[in-house]
Amino acid sequence: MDQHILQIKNLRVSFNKSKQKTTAVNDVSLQIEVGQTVALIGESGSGKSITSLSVLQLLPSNGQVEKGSITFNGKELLKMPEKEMLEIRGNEISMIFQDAIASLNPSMKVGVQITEGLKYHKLVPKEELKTEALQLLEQVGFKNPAQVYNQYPDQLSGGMKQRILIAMAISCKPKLLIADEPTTALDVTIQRQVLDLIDYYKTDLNASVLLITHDFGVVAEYADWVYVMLGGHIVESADVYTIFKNPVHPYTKALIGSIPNPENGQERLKSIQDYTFEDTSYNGKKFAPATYTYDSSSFDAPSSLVEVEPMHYVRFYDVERKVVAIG
Amino acid sequence: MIIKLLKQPQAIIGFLFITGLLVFSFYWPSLLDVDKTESLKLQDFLYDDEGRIIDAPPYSPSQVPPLGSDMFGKHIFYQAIDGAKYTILIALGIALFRILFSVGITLLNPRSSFSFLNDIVQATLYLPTAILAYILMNSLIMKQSMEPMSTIKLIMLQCLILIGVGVPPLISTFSREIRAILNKDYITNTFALGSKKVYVYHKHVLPELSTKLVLLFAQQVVQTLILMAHLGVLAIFIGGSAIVVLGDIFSPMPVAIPLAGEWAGIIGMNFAKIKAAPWAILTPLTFFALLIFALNLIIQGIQNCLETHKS
Repeated sequence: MDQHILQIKNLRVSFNKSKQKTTAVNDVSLQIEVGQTVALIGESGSGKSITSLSVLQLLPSNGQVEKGSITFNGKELLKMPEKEMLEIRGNEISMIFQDAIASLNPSMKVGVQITEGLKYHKLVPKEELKTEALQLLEQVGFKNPAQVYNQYPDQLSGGMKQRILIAMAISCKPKLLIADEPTTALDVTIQRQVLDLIDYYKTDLNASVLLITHDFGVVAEYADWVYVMLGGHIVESADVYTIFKNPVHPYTKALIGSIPNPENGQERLKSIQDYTFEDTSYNGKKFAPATYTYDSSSFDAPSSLVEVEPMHYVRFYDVERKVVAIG
Repeated sequence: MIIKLLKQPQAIIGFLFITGLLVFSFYWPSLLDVDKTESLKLQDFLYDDEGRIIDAPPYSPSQVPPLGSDMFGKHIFYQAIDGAKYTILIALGIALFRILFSVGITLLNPRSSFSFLNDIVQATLYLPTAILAYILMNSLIMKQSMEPMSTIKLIMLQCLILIGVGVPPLISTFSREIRAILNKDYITNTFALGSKKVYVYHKHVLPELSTKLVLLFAQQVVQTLILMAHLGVLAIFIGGSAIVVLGDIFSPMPVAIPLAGEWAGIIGMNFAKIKAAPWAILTPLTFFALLIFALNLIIQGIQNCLETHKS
């Protein structure tokens, strides 16, 4: 039996602006198994959020999926009518957004917002909505749910707002939770609470999580499988242990290198340089894409994921290119 | 919003003035203890105690207090007071329908930027609305003179023209506002929970737009009043007019008499006598100015509310 709850194959998403087309995501393939936490890691603008919005078909009006397929529980989402998508959104796939401040309507009470999903999907009778909301608030760690229920988002702290978003996302007990950088705007202690909460939900209901982040520290702790994204492509993918033990792509190495290590004492943190990946190679193969290069032909050149060791994939150019030795 | 508005004294003053004027306009005969028919009847000549003619209309404010008469001897003050209800209600109705039509059309395709409409709006920005409305309403009046239509139908068509000329710029404004709201993260979050578009517009977009709607409504009332005043000067009256020929056989002077009593009609009717009886124009103009001033006080109050909301 197919254990994949979500499978994305060769996804390409582009945006039109002023009659110009920009490809934001290209040849992205990923899969998530039941009960698994998959991390999608990459820098801002690499296409992580666009990939997740494509799953829910909530791309901005000028964006469109050009190619590929997205299947959820064996059902093709890209061909699904809007009416059926409404049943999936919130109910089977839910999303936690990164900006908790902007993701809550400031003029609507928290309690009303939490029950929105339950109301749409008619999972709970109207008269029981409040009780359900209070339970959800308690579940996400509020000691005084009745008070929070009647508060406006502006009366809550950043961490509390993020927990409200989690309560909204898990209200319909979805099978797949997409967490789009859920801890970006939070301080470190609150980050842990929020991630533990998501992890607890996943374990409790045997749900799956697509964790979008740019923090390898978070990936190390919570993810089972990792996809590294750069310039709209997946450049490396492997299980979390392999990625940390044997990173191949220079961008993955740079990301891991930028994690602070207290044992290094006075040593300066490594920053990600403007890599020109065409200058590096692995066993004679050239890495792709060369995001920072000005050579657009190099950026657009065909590339694909190659298995460098069992279940460990790295993106290389398909065509032979001249390898410049470094150092 | 309403509670915030109640904390704005200028908005309360403006609202009370308009409400007071409207109530007074309906009940002035009983409040002033006068007979309406008698007060608004034509008065050919002024007689002295012995029954001799001492003057012909228009009468100055000193002859017929408090504000004189028009060229038919009708009290300007009573006409202005009586016409207030028509003027205010027509302006409110036109402004309301402009807002409703614009929001409705925008919501048919809220993601559209209505770029073609923006281009038209930009192109017609320097074309006075009064000229456009004049051309359309004049052709309606010409049509009516050839094929008479009922007053109700005429008023409806005239109001439709006045609504229509104000709708395109409003669609342009609303499409911009609604798109800005739809791009907010909490709207995406609501859609991600599985909500339908109707729910999002009803629960999130329209409440967010409400203050702006009230502000634009008040601005539209002001614009409609100004437009009506301009059309009045051009002898286009809501409800149509009857032509009366004054003067003598050697110098006939056709005068358009409005059939409805709104202020623009009083201005238009007396425009020919602006030098002989300036009070006949100044009185309705002053009422127009006071009404617009009261509306501006309300607009100021709403803008203050919007600013406190932003901060």
